[in-house]
Amino acid sequence: MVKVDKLTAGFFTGLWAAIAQAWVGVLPPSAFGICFISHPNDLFNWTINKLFGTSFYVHDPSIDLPVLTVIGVLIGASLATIQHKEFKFKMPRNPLDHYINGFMVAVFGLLLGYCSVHIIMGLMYGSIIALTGFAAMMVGVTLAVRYIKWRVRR
Amino acid sequence: MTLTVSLATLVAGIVIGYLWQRSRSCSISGYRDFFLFRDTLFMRTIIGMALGALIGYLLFYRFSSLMSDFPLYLHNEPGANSIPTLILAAIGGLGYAFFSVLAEGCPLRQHVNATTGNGMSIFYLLGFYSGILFFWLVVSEIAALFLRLF
Repeated sequence: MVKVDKLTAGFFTGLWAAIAQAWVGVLPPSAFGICFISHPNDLFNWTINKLFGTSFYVHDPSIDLPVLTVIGVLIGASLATIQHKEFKFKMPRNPLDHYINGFMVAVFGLLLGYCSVHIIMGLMYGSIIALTGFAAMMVGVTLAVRYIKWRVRR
Repeated sequence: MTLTVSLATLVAGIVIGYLWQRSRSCSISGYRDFFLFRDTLFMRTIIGMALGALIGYLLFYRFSSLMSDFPLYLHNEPGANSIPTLILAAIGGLGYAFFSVLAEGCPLRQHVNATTGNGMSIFYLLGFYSGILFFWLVVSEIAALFLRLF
């Protein structure tokens, strides 16, 4: 059984963002090597544009061909799941709650232009917008934690 | 160049997907667990990402012309001097984090969990991609109006 330390997984992810910026050319914007708001957005919008002739926004690296990070992650995670026989379908109790959470994360994430992985890359790259977003994220986490505690007490 | 970008992101995505599945990593649970229980286990992912990115950027920026704007705060970052842009970023960051904590994971973790048959993550992703469509149909217009007004 392959086990990977969280620090290693995080380190590789961060290093890849730097490699993508410096050597692969996944830009503009800067520090765009990995983002789980913008990359799914680009893949989704690029596909919709090709299928229906629309003109939804995609970032510069995805104009001709989309960035395929999302497909890669799904393949890589599926390989790990199959290798370790961990696939087990579990139906959630409140599917609508999860649907709404995903919906809201996408809307607010696109407003910010960063996901919580990308924002670390933005911070390390010295982005003021990432710093603002990160500070707001910490407020958001605090509010959510207080909400969870309040809900448990009720 | 675009084929290179697509293939490189595909390969990197495969490695990242594998690593994140095996390590059960998440980029939002670290903050949640720290604020809720003072538990730092998931913070290891965030610390690893910060270290990897910082070391990579510091190593590569001298040798790559593609990093001529590093560090960004010294190079007139687009939008960084615009208060409305920063307000939108703040609203986005707050909402993103609030709903990510309620969803019990960041979008990357949800994509990874969906491959294990986690129904929660599958419904999350259905909402996530509907949210992208809704953003470009409705919210982007409101955001653009907000930026024009100020």
